[in-house]
Amino acid sequence: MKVKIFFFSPLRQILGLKETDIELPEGATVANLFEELSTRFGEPVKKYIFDGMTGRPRGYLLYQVGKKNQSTSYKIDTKLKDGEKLAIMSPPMGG
Amino acid sequence: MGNGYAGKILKIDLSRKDEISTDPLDMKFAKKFLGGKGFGAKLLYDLLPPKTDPYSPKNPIMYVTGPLTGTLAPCIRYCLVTKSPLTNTFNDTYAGGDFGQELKYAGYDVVIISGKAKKPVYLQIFDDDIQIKDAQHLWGLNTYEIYDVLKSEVNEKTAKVSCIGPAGENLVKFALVDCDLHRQAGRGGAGAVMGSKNLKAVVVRGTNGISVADYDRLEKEVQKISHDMGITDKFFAPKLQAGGTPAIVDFSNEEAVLPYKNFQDQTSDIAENLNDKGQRKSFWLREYGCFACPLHCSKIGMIKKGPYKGTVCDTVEYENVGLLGTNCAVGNVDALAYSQNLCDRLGLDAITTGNIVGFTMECFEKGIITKKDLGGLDLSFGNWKNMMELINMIAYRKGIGNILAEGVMRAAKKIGKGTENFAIHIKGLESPAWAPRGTPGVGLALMTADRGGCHQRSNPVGLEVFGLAWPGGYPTERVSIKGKPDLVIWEQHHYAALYSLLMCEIFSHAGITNESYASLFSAVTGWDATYSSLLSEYGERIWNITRMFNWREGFQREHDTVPPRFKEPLPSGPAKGHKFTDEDINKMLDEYYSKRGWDEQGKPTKEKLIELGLDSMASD
Ligand code: SF4
Repeated sequence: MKVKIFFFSPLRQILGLKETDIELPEGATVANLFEELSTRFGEPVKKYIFDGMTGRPRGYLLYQVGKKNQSTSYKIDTKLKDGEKLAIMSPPMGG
Repeated sequence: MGNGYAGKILKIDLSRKDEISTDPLDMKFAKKFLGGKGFGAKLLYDLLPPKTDPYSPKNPIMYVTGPLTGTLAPCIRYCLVTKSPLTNTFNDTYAGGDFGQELKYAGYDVVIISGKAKKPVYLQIFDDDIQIKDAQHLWGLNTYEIYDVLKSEVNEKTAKVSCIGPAGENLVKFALVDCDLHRQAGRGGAGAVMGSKNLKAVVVRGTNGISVADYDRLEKEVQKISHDMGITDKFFAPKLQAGGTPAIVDFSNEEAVLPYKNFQDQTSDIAENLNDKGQRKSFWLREYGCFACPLHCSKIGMIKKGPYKGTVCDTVEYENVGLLGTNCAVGNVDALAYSQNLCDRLGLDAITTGNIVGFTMECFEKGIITKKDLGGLDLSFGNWKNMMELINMIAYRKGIGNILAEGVMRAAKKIGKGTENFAIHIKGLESPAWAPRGTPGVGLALMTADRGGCHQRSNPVGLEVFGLAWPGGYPTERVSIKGKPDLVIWEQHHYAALYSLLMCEIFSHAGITNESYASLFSAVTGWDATYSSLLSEYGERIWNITRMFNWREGFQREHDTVPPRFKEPLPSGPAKGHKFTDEDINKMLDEYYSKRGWDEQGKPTKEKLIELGLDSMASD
């Protein structure tokens, strides 16, 4: 199956890429997607989406796209669907 | 009048009704201090004799705008500047809405209000018709009640209102100034300073325009910003717009920087109910935004069930989720929304209030404060019903509320029994919802912030957690102190410069580039600037003025520290075990002072002040 990933700050700048398609096996989870992204794009992506101290994948970086009220309704073991559109971006830091 | 500026400073002495005057804005002054924080810092330094009581009629409360305010530039706020009664430091506190724009249209860059009225008054500024009016009938009204009364009284529906609630009247040291109903200049007790002057409200209406040096460039820059944000592609940084600041909660909780139970821990399992999804499900109805904001990060809602059903309320902002919510172990989203609404209506800074309620809950947990002390209230962590009672007691200074109304530093001193060890403040300002164990840069930022424990002077949490470089800088390791002084210095200059332009920091995360701010500034004023020149020219200068102000008030190295709780190991989360040691604190401060050109005690050296064009301060 195929999912579309949109990159926002800071990965958009780091990779110089706005979006990409990722092929995943049927039934793949958010964790599988993160692993695939790390393999495809290497260290900068790995460092960003996995916690360097514990190896924990940072599920909160992933957002649904195309729905009116986009949000992170994903857990790290959430199964992805074919054709899904997702965004990876840093959370806002204001208060 | 120079481009971008209204050209006048309005001065009002409330002690003498006939003392209303205007000074032309000196354009050399404008060029040197920009606006907003920069104007406020220099004016307060020059106007206020050192060690003046913040409630003295001499302490001015200043409404300050900037060159971008009221132009096409998106998301520009205004600030209030005064000496804080909570911390005795310099205090600048910001609010969005559209009050600042209206003030500028009325013809003023700054309004300086000093003195003290004999009886409650409000100030009416309609262009150059300035009146000090009786407000005895408004005294006692909460911030929501006052709007309709005042607008019909001045017979001007489009007038904008800034006011205090009962907390400001009662000189609660962390009373806020409410602006346009949904925006609050919250921190440091500006509302109490207004209350000390018997000034209930300022109502403003303006009909002038603002001249702009290069309108075409400004328009193009605004279009570029829209494009950068993705708005033009109909595909926008979805989380920020859809979720507002509560969208930060998941990050904060998972990375363990979100206070829980009076900062005993930094992560909890109740946070998930309180994030943007939890709020949307429970009460959000529609979006709204400040003047010229394409983002509309705020939401209006109504509580749909339970004892607070029917209450119309705003987004519970991230800070308030962290302080009134998780810090008090309140996981009920409706109760949380009501508590924020209650703080807003009473005119209390919700960050400090959440902090001090959490402190009182811990006192209760430890048996230091009992039901008897609390007028019969069980104040166990999570008891939101009684939390509302306590908030009322604080605003009206009833019972123990009278002690708590002084802020956590003074309350702990008064209560004693070791409570100072868990009073979470820096220089008297209660910490924000960015608990710093595990992110030492955040700790350094809080230690050195110019108004006490504040995240809006530098908050490098994202850069630390993700190990990212700042513009022109380098990456750092999350729990290491290496590089953190450089990181914090950059960010303090960033905020000092951009807060002088009155940027909204929420919007600044939405894809607008730093260079865009410089470009907006150049287009409006006609003065050349780049992002880096804004920082080196203005950011550093302004940061040194506020440091000198605080130095003059007696603040030095010993005050640049963290509360004892942050020296205990963090119980859980990815940075479990991390704590601040005295050795690390001293190492960071030594490097930070030396890189800033300050002496060992943290005083800017004469050479540094002269280099920054602050010669007149060099002999202070
Ligand atoms: S981003 Fe939010 S707080 Fe900032 S100007 Fe827009 S609506 Fe106001």
